[in-house]
Amino acid sequence: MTRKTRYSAIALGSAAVLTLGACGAGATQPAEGADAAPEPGCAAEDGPLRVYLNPWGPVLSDQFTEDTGIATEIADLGGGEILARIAAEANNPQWDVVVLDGHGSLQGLADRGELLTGWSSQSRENLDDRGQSIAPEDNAWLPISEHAAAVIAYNTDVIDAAEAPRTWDDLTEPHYAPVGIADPAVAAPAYPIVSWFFQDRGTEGAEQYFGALMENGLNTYPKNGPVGQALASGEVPVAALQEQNVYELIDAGDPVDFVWPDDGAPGVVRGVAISADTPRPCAAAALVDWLLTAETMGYLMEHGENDGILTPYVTGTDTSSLPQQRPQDAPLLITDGQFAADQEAEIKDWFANQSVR
Amino acid sequence: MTSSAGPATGAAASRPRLSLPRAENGLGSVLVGVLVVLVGLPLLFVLAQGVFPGIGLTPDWSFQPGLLTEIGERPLWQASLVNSLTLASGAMVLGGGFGSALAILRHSVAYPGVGILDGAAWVLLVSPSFILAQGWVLFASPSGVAANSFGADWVGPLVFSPGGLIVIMSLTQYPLAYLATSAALRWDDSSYRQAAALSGAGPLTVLRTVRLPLLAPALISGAILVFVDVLGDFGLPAALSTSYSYPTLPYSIYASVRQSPVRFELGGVLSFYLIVILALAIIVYMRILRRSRFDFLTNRASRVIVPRARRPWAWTAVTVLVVLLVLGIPLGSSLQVSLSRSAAGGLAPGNFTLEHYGEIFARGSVMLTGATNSLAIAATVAILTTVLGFLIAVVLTFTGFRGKVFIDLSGTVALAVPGIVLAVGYIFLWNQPVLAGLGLSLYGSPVLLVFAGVATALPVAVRLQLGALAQVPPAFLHAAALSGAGLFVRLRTVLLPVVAAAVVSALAAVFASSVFDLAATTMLAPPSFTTLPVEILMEFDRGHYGYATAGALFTAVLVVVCALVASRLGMVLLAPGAPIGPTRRGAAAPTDHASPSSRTTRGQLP
Repeated sequence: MTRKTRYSAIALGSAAVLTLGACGAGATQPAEGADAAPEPGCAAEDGPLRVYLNPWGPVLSDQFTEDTGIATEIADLGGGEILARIAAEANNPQWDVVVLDGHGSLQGLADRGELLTGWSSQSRENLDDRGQSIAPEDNAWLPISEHAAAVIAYNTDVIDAAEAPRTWDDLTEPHYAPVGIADPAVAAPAYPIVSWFFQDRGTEGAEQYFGALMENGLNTYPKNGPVGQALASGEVPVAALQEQNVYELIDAGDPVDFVWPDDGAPGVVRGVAISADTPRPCAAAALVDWLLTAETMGYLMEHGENDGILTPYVTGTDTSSLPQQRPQDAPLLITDGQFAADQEAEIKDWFANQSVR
Repeated sequence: MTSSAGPATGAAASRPRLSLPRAENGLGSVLVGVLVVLVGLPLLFVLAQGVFPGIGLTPDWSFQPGLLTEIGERPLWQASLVNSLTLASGAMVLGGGFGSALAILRHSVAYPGVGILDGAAWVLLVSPSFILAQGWVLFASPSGVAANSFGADWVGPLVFSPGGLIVIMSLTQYPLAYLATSAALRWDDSSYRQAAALSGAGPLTVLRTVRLPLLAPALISGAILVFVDVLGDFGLPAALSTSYSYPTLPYSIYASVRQSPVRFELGGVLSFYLIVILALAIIVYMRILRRSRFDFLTNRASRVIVPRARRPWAWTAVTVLVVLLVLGIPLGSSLQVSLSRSAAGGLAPGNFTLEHYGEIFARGSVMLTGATNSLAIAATVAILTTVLGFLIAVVLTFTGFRGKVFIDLSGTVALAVPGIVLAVGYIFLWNQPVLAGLGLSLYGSPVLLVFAGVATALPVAVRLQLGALAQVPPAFLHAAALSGAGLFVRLRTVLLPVVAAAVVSALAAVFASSVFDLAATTMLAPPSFTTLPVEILMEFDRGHYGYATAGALFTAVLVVVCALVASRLGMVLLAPGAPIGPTRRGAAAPTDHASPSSRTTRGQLP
């Protein structure tokens, strides 16, 4: 009898905790000050600002603290891990600011009401026309920069420059197979490639395009780093590879060169956003405003190594630190943020299921 | 239940219990409570996502049982399920057989270098599976060491096939079977064999009719351990994903919680499949165990004296080949890559460099900071897990506590559930606003890393100690109880000295596996808290294979050295003067027969 009681108690306790959690989620009150738009220039709140970021890491946080005196705690993780953490913390967010590659993912967070909206950013006017046109009206997130999620990279030991593919359609020719690409389900910069084709060619056209690549042989790797290594070794003769990885391989003396197609390369937008539940809206706004200045962008480009290779949206940024190999004014193809967010689950499911068939 | 087998079952049913019901139930209940918090609730949260998507996270969750049957429409899930089962079953047979065969060899004949087998199994056990798997991938990939340095293009297609992967998994995971079988072979009651020999049985007949049946539980538990471990292994699929598309359940779960938008509900459903398979494996295992009793050690038991081999050097050659295969290839490949400017550059002299190691030891190296943090966490986890695992094994082996099935299942389940799933469950649980109100918001503090580490490593600690405890007759403890010794006095003075080797093995294994507990640290590490595995994986992701492998090997050496020191220290503290378990003692050492440890055993008999 006592045993039964004990097990019932355990079962009951477990159920109670789950239910508490479930109800707690519904009943969560935003932390004090949350969702209240910070007044421009208001004083930073006490306590360190918690920043989840994929690019720049301590280069960004250390300089921010030095410039503003506001302390930070950073979680310097991959894009996927950041999104998983944010999702797992949904009912009790522990972050204040997120910096991430992939504006589709940021728009997804905005659609779920997880980002602070309606605040007036002092620095939004620092964005150029292209940045202004991408940024959502309500400042749920602000674009920082763009770079090529993929250019056509090839191994020069295997393919002569004259025979290299020039357009994205060339990749479907069987003699370039297997083509290497980062897994759009796992690598943050890879989804913008796939989503661009879905937006540009429609679902049917994009499924045909990737279907043809998979038919010939499409090697997906979890991240761009391994794609680059596979290309350098000749494991794949051609790859849709993120531009920073291409320059790094060329610098290291690997037999790699690339083509930036005339019709453009799918681009990834780097953005910054503030949590809707942040108890430190003023400090968070201070970080965004500090970030979107020409001085900060110039500093991050110069000291950010690979993370600094990009086209900034902030006007007046000194871009002299960009590598010589990077073509100037090369066209970037940016997927609409709302389209990318709306289609994300469906496109990724299709891609994942298709690639095991 | 107990009527299915012969007389042995009857003996098991009437097995005397360890202690008075109060102490027994008290300990059992405390363990149930600890396991509910460490494993039960976090897992429940994750599994609940499979049928109540969004529960505990958003206000608008609902009951959607349809997801559970969606596998029919998802080719990726089907492929993952089939691949996982193929890999785990294959490795269970091949790895289980390989490990047990090596153990029988190790304890049947003596020859120069036989102890290396212990060392190899131990190094494999304590080396992170990701590092070993990465070594194999670096060796066999189309652009790997085999192709670039030795021109062996045929290795890639051979290894990157379902059969090849089964072989790799068997070669990396066999130590679980080896250790389980070795533990059973360490002690022997020669009267059984002598009786058989007196009846005219030859050595092979003795092996077949006496030794193997007595060993059966160890063989089976070893094989099932390999099955469960391979089923939940994340290291190989993670390493493999850079070269060969072979989705397994753990990898698909991992991908589902790392993609945007995050799909916890899919992770929940896939985890449910994993746990069902695991539960089936455990039920089979327990049914088999119930059919016989294994506490065959009596007061005549002694450490086995192993005869010298007739062709010792042939066996030495076999041993060296085995070690080259299981350790030489993966670690050698990693070593070569860590010393190369370009991973694809092969063995050319111009490609040699020490710069990657230089970077690790450079001033302000993140790798070193990460190593310090990870080692501190792992040491804490190792001590807590070993103690908890010991107590669990005691309750499972010697008591009639009614919650044993729950304890057994939760002590094993983490083996099959990928760490990242457990970690997500930890965030669900420990980030609840209710707990913050109670001052229990552990999320964001290193304490949670320790908790998650304990939960993840518990299965190994429990299994390693269970094997040893299963051979100790309850009469040993019963006698002490009759003499008035309390529960903890009995555990410390009677049990601990007998099973010290297993306890120390568990300590070392847990320490080593915790240093590279990738999933938990990725999800749970507090902001601004660098850990070694996250740092290494990030470098792999960036394509910096040289620096990443240098870091991985540096870790592996550090882990092996620390585990070795911990082992020796542990043996000295737990059983002063006893032979040191996992190290290279000559198997034939006749002094083993009269080792202090066996004297202790006999000395404490009533």
